[in-house]
Amino acid sequence: MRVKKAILLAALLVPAVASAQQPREARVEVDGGLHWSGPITFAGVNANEISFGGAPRTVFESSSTLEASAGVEARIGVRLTSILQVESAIALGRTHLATHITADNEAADATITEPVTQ
Amino acid sequence: MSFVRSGRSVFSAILIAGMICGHARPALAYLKFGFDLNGRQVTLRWNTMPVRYFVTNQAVAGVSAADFQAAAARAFATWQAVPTAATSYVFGGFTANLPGEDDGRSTLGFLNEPDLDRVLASTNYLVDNATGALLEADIFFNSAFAWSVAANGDRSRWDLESIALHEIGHLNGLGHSAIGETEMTNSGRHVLSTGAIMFPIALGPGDISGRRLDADDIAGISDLYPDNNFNDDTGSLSGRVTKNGRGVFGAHVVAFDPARGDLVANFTLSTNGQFSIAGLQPGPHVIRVEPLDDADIESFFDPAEPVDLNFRTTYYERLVIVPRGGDSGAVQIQVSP
Repeated sequence: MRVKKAILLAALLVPAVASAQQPREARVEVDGGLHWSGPITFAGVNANEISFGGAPRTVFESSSTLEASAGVEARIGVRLTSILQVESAIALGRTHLATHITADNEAADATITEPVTQ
Repeated sequence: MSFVRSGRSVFSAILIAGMICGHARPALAYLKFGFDLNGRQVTLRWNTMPVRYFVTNQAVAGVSAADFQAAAARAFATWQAVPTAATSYVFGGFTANLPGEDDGRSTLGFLNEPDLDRVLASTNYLVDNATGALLEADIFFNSAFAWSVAANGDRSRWDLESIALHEIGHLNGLGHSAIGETEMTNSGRHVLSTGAIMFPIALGPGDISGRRLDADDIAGISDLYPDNNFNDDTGSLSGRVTKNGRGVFGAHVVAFDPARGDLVANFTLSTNGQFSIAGLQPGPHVIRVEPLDDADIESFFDPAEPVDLNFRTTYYERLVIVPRGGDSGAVQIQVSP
């Protein structure tokens, strides 16, 4: 009777050992989703000329913003070993780069844009 | 103005106290001088480097011949230091000859021209008619004005190095730039600011800010004498300016780099309103179009040219991306009266 119990215990233990060895096999993970990026404002840059004595004189001022955008994102990961996994991600979104022109004595304020695909 | 003399053409470009007159018609590209040769546009440039120059052995009050040579050498060195342009100059020595003599030598020196009461300096060219190559370029500085070579300038005298820097730009083959702002007063046109050493009006006696080059000057000299990588590392922007469906001639088109603050410009140089601006850093640019109202038209164009001044300063509604080593593609800009 003691022999039978020992065999049963061994049988119960085998699956647990097999499970511990599984991470060594290749495994692929795929996921995706939506993303949103907030606006990014760049430092303002003026269109300067030089006046008598070398002092700058501003013809107009400019400031640029990469506007907020929403997009899609996909990611794929491949586990090569228990400690090494390779991942690759791609995100696609459209936004606008906008430059605001102000303080031009000869023209009204203007906002100049260009679509940007990221 | 051009005329043939002994199989060679003579052009002149003049820096004047109140204005500069560029008599040669600009070529259809950037702010280079050029002329029509049997129906072909030829750009004025030196075909061999270094350019050898001489200095007249003559002094004026406050400026010895050696002082003059040293100031001119600094101005030449400033042009030569542009990293994207392949220009070089060498001082050939002092000479008893005066600027303006057809002696095969490019000579810089003083001449007393009291009748030219608004002319600070002038550059004259001797050009090979067949190729457009510069053979000789002389620069005279009008000794009817008071000159200075003081390190910090002299408020009652014109800074020789600054004016030499402008004239050497002409010697290189560059025309005038219209990047600058002026206002009309009872005493005439007054300069508020300049954005290029090649602007046709000097700021005033004592000013030494004209000892440096601006982005427009650097783009111009690099476009005229590009080094090995310049054309690959920069790009151009081109297009057409129209008003009521028709091309605008003589519109001043300025490309502004909102990342660097650079201003580089050219004109629409055909009656269908075409323009091209080369030597731009890759990336987005703002385009501003304005009438040529900050200098006399004669400083840029032949008086007979149909320069249109009747439109409002306009920003093109889109940023234009200048590609590295390429052109933006045709940009269509509409202006209104």
